Amino acid sequence: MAFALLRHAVMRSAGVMILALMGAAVVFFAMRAAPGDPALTALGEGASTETIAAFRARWNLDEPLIVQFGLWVANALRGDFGQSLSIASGTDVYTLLADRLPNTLFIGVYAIILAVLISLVAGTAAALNRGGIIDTVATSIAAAGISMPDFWIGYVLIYAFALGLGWFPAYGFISPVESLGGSLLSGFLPALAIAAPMAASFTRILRSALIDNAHRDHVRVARSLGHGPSFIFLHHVLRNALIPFVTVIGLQVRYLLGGTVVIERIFGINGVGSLMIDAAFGRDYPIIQACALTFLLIVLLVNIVVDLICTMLNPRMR
Amino acid sequence: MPTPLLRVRDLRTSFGSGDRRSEVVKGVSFDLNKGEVLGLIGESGSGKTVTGLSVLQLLPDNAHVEAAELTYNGRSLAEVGAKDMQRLRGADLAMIFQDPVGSFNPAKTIGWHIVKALGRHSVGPSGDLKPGDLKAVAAELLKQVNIREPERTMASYPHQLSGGMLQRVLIAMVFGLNPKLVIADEPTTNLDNLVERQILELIRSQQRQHDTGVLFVTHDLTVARHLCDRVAVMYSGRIVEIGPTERILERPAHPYTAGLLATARSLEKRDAALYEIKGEPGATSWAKRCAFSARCPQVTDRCTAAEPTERTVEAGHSVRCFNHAA
Repeated sequence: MAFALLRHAVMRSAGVMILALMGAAVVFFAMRAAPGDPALTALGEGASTETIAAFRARWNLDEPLIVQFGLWVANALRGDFGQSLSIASGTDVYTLLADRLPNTLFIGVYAIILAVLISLVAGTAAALNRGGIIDTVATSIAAAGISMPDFWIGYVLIYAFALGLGWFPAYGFISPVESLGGSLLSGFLPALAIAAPMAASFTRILRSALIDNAHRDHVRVARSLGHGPSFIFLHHVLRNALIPFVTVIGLQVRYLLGGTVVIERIFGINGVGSLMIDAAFGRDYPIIQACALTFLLIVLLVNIVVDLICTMLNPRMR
Repeated sequence: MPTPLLRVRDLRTSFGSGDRRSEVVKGVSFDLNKGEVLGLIGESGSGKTVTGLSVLQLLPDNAHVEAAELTYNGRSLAEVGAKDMQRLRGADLAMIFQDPVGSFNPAKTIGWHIVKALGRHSVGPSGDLKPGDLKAVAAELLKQVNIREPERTMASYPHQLSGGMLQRVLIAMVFGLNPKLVIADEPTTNLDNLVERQILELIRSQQRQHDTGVLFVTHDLTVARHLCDRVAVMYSGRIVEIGPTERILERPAHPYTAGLLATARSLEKRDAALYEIKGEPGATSWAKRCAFSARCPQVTDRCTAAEPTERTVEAGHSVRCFNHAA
């Protein structure tokens, strides 16, 4: 048993490493294939051929691509992600990431918590009220939520709650490192913008899973044994509906990261997403590489955690 | 005459509403006495399962149940509120279902199921069991249904046990609550022959031990012969013949019962051509006709002109057929 568990852990880690390497390779070669040159961004359009050549030599950009990739992998394995080439010339990529990652993680976790809370309430209310007015309203909003892009929801939220009602700031974000209260307030609208489409799909899956499980035979058996409605809902219906619910949450995390890239821009949040966009425009290869790797590792880690939770929830998977 | 445990008079159950309303149980009447096993026999769609579910009020919301009389120990179940009905279920009226695997919550252990069921009915101000005792009681119940390693079984999840094993657990759980009436809805249909015998034997011994009244729903006459004191044969939502098991199996008064018997006998004999009841099974109307008339070998003009009423063949044996003099 312990051996099987260990073997599972080793296999899983090896899988993560291979996927991370493959992901890094895809990003690396895709970026190099795109037109543009970090030397021009860093030195300006008027730079002389010699300065450009010197710049390229200094950052090993004159080496063959495969050698460059090998160098990057070798350094990354030692925890060295290099320095920024163009947008923050010479700054350690690690420092840039360490500065910004807490903001992105905060907004991401905030968004997931909001989406889960909203969908738990809305999905349960809709399922219990199947065919009624609450169900109709909840499913209609959910359908609308799925079809609305997050950046559009972001602007609507800014217009309504920041500019209109003035409850939240329209722009800027206070880091959770400085003030938790401030970050909860200033992060609410961006988190909600990311959460809305997720909450919509979570609500739909929870509603249908609850309805599906409410019609299982064991629910009728539990009733025949005299168990009450709240006991049955909690232990027989909701308990089993959580399995597909958690699975879908895990699947949505990758969209969540895509969402942060756009939303950080709209709300002016100093996060990994906006760093990545800046780096992409400046062809700042080391930063792009590091950001992509970070996102990739987050997705893989979340998948492992979700798998673990699902295994705990579903004895048939053990 | 003592009050029967369960008295059902003109039970009618329908689903849906308005034009799409369809009646499944079309006026069923019977008595079930304390400690008696009554077989409810019929083909799929005859309304036997719905009859059982109607008594326990376990039907979905779109079902509509009405009865001239539906009493448990003289108490009208129609007037019992939802809360009291919930209290009666399990403690007084219980049910064993057709699919043992689906009867259990896949996310919970066997022990959880039994302990929660016991806890629902025996712990509380009037209960004599403390929560800590429940596990021991549960293990004892499992031993009584011949489960050798009760602790291990209780720690298992439903998918780790066989259908026969799960049905044993369910029987242990249901009879462990000591209900006065158990409705068994084809409890052996999904099990293989050998296990079926064991489960029937188990139900019989538990029923005798607790002196429980059992309404045994089945489509299998052989099963009924082994288990039931009396049988009621259902056709298209009505009981067409009811009486002591021996008498009905030896001298069936209704052509449908006779057909069922002939089918069962031809199955037992090798080489013999299989007997079948002609025509399509399924729900047909009783309005101004006998619902079985289209398939009946003894059909006469009267059968399609009026609805047959119940006639007594002899004391305790009655039939709904014109071919018997009233």
